[in-house]
Amino acid sequence: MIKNILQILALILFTMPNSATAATVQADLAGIIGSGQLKIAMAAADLPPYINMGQDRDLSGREREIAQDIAQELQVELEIIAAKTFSEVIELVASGQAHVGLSNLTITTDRAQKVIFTKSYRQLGTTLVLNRLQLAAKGLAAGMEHMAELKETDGKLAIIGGSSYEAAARFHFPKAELVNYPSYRPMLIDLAAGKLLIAGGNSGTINHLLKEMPNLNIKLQSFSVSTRLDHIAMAVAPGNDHLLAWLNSYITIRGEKLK
Amino acid sequence: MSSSPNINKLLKFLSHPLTIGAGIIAGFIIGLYSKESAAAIAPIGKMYLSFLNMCILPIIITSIISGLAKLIRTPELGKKLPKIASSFTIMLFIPSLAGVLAASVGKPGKGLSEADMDALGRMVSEQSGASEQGAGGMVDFLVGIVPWNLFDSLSKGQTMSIVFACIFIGIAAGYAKNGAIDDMIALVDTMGEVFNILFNWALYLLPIGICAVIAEQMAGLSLSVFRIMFGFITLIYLAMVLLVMAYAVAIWRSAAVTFGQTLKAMRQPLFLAFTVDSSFIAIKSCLDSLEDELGVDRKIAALIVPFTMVANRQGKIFLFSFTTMFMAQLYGIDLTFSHYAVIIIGASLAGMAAPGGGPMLVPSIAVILSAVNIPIALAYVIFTITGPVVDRVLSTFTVQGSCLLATLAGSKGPSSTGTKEK
Repeated sequence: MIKNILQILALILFTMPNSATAATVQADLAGIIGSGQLKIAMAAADLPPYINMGQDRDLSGREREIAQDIAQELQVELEIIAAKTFSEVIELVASGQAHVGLSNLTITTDRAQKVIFTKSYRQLGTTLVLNRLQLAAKGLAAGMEHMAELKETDGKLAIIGGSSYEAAARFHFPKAELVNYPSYRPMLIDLAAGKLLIAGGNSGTINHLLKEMPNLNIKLQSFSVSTRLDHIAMAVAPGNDHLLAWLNSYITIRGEKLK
Repeated sequence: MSSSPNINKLLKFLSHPLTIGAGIIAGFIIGLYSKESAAAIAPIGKMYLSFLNMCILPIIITSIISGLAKLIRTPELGKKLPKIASSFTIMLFIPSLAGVLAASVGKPGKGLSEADMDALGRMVSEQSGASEQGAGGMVDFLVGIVPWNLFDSLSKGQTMSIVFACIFIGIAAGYAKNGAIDDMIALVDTMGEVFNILFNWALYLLPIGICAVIAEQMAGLSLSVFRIMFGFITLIYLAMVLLVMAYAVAIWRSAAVTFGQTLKAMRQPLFLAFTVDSSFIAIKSCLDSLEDELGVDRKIAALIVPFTMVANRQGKIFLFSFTTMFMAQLYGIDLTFSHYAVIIIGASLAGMAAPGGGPMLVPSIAVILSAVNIPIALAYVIFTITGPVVDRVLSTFTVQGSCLLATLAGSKGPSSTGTKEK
């Protein structure tokens, strides 16, 4: 009798693969809670207001606040793993060295092959910034209505190395000479100094820096690229469905506060 | 018409320079210390300026038509024309040269503090979008100057088009053989006289009107502008004072009067242009001063003064060359000899008939800025923030330039007045 019952239970377990997976996820989320530590990968980049890097390379800003809030909700210790680039954040999550990638990450199809993204908690436009003097000298003008001429430029175009903008820049500005920068601040300063013609990146950070250094507006002209909107999300390793579901719930509850 | 002694006393009191000065000071005080009161009396100032404008357009029309018709019918014009044309052309380049010189000596665009650059940058950022207006300039001017419909131009107050039409009407009237043409010219003169009387009546109310106008302007003025653009504004005022004085010397040398009489003659037109911030409103005063005090032929003055105020705007020409130099300094652009040539010629051509003031001037200066590879956006900010402060002194200079041209062309010489300094 007992043997028959065990056979029936075994049959049920084998014919319910979803239940089996759920057990694994529960173990993963439970593992984070059980170990008392949440490892979050974040790019060590100066990306205000989302990520600010201090002089001793400690990270602060909106993403750090979100990471701290998540750890507090889970009642675990937070460990920030600093990555050199945004691509490295994805690698750290995909390889299981970090539980979550939280670094103002744009959802791209390339990245989605390696990690699973939560639902988007922030949408950011793309902004192009141009040096006014070089524009005047080249007889060019800024604005979406002039994109066709701008795309033909062979001038220097700066983007953040390892960001989602790198591929977009190569595709849309095939003749431009791409220059990688580690962060936006030196990129905008070099642009104002006339070392570059165009710089591109997320509108949140660029607008923040142009407000922080308003004198740059005299030499720089920015405009929003209305055809591109970046969906920002957190990344988890494939298979961590419960962690993913928990983060999606967290995003729903916090809503506007995460933007 | 006789008037009672009391009324005469009152009119004398109202037209006394001290009364007008008191009106100006009261306007400053009200504008700076009681913005509510300034807003309350603002409609009085608007009504006053509207009334002056209402009178001045008919005066311009009648002066040009009558003056030109009479001039054509005398052999004077043929003799005067080469001198008028050469003086007109030379005077186009004096302000642009002066603008380049003033900016080269004063260097207003160099050494702005970080705080000032931040403030300018914030303003550039706030007005982005409005900044990249297309260049206007000579082509737009030439296309716009010919009225499609004269009555439409009259109803819209398009002064350039009206002056253009009046010049041709005056020339045609001068060549008309019809015996009734004298009656038509007399009628035009009579209409002009009616509006002259109205204008003179309005001038009695200048102390009240100017108090309301200045109070409103002061209330809306941002004092931080003075800090940011202190060098720019100060240099323009300094250059304008020097140029107005230099032109006064030239008027004195051309007219048959003493230097003191020249200054006295120019006092009211310059004062009027400065206080109401309009060269056109000073036209009537210019014509009276030129004829009565400087011995200039009214026919010539009636043609030259309104025309030059439309097509030889000395103040705007100076502003364009000075601002281009300022922006080149601010952007750290090393100017070559050909750049200087472009600025001087470009400012003369673009500024000679540039319409409006403040940010409305951006399309006109854009031609020069583009030629020197200077971004346009900052010009919008500069004209917007400095316009309320510098436009009036530029209008004053334009008035002085018009009077100098009229004196050079129409001075009757020493025998006419008999007041030449011995």
